[in-house]
Amino acid sequence: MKNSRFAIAALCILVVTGCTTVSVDRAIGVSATGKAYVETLKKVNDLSLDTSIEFTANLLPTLPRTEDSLEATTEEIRKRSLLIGNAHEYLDGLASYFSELEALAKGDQSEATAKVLGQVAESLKAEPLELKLSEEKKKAITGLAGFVAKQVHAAAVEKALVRDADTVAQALAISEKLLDEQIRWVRLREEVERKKKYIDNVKKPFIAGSQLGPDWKKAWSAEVRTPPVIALLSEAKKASGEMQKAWIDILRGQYSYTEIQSALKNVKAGIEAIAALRDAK
Amino acid sequence: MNNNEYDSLRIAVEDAFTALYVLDVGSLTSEQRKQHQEALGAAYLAVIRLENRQFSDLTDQAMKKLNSLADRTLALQQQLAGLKKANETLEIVASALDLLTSIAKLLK
Repeated sequence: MKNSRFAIAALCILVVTGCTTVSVDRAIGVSATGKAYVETLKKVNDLSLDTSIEFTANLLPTLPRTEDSLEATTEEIRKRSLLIGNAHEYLDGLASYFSELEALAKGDQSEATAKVLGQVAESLKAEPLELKLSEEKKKAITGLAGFVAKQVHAAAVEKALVRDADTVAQALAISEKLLDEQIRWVRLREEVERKKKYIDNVKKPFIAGSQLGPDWKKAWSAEVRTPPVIALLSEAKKASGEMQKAWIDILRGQYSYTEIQSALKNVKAGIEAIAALRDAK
Repeated sequence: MNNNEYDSLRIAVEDAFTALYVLDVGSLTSEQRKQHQEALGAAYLAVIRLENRQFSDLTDQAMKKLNSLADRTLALQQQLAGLKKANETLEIVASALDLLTSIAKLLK
């Protein structure tokens, strides 16, 4: 009798410990994914500015050589540089949120950590860079606190999730808006350069009946393939949608971030490789 | 002007810029090359200002003025559609240089 009581008690401890481990793992998992997501967005942020600067630097010598033309274009690129700096700060705020959530999940459930987490969440409420979400989108991400599954997360994490569910969802939606815009900047420039290269290096020599050597074949092959930057950015866009879904899933007490993690890793590594290639030029 | 209309105008300006960027400058006369430089500069300035403006609110007055330019911008986009010779593209865009310049000025 004594033995069976002991066994039941041990089983209870095991079950409770197991559940706690699961809830901690879940919050740590989403925090790590959130941080990787923000890191990737920061890479896209940098890429969008680098692409704008490089493209403009190449274009300027072909434009009218007047002071007005130079100043007007330069001023806009300076403005862009500031916008990207502000976007970096906002993304840093989002990364801090996930770091503090991770600390809370790992057991640092002190008042101080909970307070910092609350402050970071508060700072994310301001719509950065005048990026506004549509009323429809806002409506869709309101009331997510009700999605937080009870007694699935550690108590302090559950409390934080209830408080921050909408704010973080809004921050993720805003970061996607930022991503959309930056993808558009990069895409336009990549596409016009690609079109120009096609006309100059593929179409013209082909129609002119010139000798078509390895360079021509290389140029033609490059044209029919999806350009790596566009493919990477499409992957980043996909990951952004998945990150928003993962946030809702974690509120519900589900896991859904393992696949995004590898996609994010690919995008980040890809952008770093492109940047290294450009620097090496 | 709602968001969709603004986006259509933006696409039309991007299309005008693309048409100018890919244009075969080698087939133009020196006078036409000068025209091309001017039109390309105006179109690119309009493009980057439209891009940067995504991060700030336009005044109602600017929005109204932009709206009044929308029809001409969309007409320009339609005229540029399809295969065109370099001088034809240039002629179309050069005739709308004031339009591109106005858009860029409004977004300053």
